[in-house]
Amino acid sequence: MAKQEPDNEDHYLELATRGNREGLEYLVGAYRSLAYTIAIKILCNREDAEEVVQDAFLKAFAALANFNRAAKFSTWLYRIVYNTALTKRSSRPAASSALDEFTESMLMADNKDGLATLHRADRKKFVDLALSRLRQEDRVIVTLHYIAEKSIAETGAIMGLKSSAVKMRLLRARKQLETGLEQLLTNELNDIR
Amino acid sequence: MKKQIQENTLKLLIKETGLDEPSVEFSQRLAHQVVTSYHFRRTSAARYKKHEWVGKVIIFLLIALNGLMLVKLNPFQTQPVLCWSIGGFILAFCCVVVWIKKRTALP
Repeated sequence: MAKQEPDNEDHYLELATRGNREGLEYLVGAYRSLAYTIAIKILCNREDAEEVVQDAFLKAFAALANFNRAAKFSTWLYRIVYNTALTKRSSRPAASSALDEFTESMLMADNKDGLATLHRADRKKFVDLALSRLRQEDRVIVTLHYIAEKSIAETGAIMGLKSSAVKMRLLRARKQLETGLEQLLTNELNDIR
Repeated sequence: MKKQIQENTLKLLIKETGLDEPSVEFSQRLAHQVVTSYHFRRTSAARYKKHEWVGKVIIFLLIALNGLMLVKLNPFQTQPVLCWSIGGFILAFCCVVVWIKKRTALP
């Protein structure tokens, strides 16, 4: 993920507000991966996540003229993505939870392929598996704080939570992740032996 | 690997591997849709803005004529209770509309 320079972001935001194609494409390109990551952490389904990202981007860019710049553009956009994903999830909760289990079982099946070393793709599998064992909210907090590099306050603003609640959940998620990853890596080592 | 996973290592691991990339087709489609819909909105907004004043004049005339009718008929004198009830209903309706707009507005 390319880290956004604030000045650069403002420049392209200004261009996009004026309807400049380059500005619009830059903003889409800069934030689509993280928006997609947030959506997939909530919905656990590629098709639904794509639909949510598309909806959220269209909503956000339709209201771009009303963006008052009190917060960062990314914070505003991720909040729209988060709310759209929650609405989508609440419309079909049964399907999503079934997919949670499906994702986990697929990942577990993939991990049984006796690996000699843990390459990047394999590490991603373990991280995804450990993340999938967290609560949905905790997963999003970890994504926003560690991957999107949002501060505690910004994470709280995106999710509509107080900073203290974000801190507490982040601590809990970190502990669970540490335990989960340790367990997964131990199992993997045992499989190799 | 058996070592305790430290916080920094965890941060790095998540940062390095936690990002999910959408497919190339989806990314291209998304960029195209955003640009197309944004331009469509801008051009249609500009097109309708030219005729905005006509609508404003019509609405002003309608409201003015209705107000004039109310003044002429003077319903407050004949049916004060009914007038207060209708006034209250209109006020409550406006409050509900504002509340719904605020709730459904983008953050």
